[in-house]
Amino acid sequence: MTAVRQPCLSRLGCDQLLNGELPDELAARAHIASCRQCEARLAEHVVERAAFSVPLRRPPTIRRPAPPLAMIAALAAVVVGIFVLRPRLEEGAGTRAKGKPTIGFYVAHAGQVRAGAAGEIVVPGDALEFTASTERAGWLAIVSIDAAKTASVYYPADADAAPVAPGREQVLPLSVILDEVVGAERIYGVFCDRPFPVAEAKDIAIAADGAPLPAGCVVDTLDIEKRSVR
Amino acid sequence: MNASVLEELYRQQGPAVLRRARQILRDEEEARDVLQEIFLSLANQPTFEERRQTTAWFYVRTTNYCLNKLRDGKNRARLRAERGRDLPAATPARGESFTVAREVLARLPERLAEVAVYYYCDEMTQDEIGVLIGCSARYVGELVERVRRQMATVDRVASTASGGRS
Repeated sequence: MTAVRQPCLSRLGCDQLLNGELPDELAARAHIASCRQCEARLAEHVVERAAFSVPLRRPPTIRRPAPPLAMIAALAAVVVGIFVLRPRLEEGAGTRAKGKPTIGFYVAHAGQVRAGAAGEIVVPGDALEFTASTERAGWLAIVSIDAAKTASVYYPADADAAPVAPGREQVLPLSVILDEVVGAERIYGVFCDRPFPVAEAKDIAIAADGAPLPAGCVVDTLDIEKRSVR
Repeated sequence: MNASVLEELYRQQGPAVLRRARQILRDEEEARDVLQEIFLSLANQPTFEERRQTTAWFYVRTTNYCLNKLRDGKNRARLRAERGRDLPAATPARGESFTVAREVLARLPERLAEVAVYYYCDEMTQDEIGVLIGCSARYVGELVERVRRQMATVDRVASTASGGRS
């Protein structure tokens, strides 16, 4: 049998080793013991960690739950927004295929609520409240791909897609506070006629647009533009 | 996300996130902002699902985040100003600091810039890079070759320009 020589550790390999994620840790450690370069690199990482003293700032905003009063105020604002702005949202839906399930959203910014439209400009800290319109009962998950190509689940908060009843512009029971990543963001509403894990919705979003969808699933997309200043 | 989970992630991954941000942005204040922004964005997520490859996830997330910042107008202007002073645009040898190539990074196509960072800054193998970006090691080899060619082109242009000034 021929022994396979363990390659030198990359920076990623060093960090994985220190975080206990390296699959063959014993072989890696044996290599480090016989390789000055890797030994020095690992020592560098250990020193870097010991010297790391930047405090983590507390998050200024979090996703739900909100304090009761703030929740009531926010809900009232959204309800007012829905009644005042519903016609605008319906007009904006004119470009979508008839009968296809769709998602929509409202934006809460500085105490004001407005209906979101394609290409809506938002800023970090804005709250999005989603709506769903469908003629048939099914299951729904909403995910996004931001400018940093990171997929995030916006709805629901559970590991599995949430059931959705037939109806128009049903406000979903979860709001999202937008994070600091600026740039173009695409939001995917994944509707399926069966229960499915939200991880599947993330996979659908990560796949290139136009990729074949699982049977019984339909995707509606919305684009927003997140800027640091509105 | 639970505050104690976030703190634990920060303790484990924070040093590598800050290192990567410093390598790409070369601005201490911006690098520290990136560190906070990356973790604050996690605080708004109910769970963190990439547990098996957590370190790799932070490498990819931070690299893409910083490359996006590098491409924005303000940073590109700053890099141009620095280049104008005296920074060489030489092709970096494996293992060297990537400082000299930031302007190149800002101009490389997204995927090539990402590969360049993993290859030169982290000295990852082509297999490791392939796992991170979801393609074969052979294809990574082709991407690395394209990075080398583009850097060599920039180097030639810079040499010509500096020769003209002396």
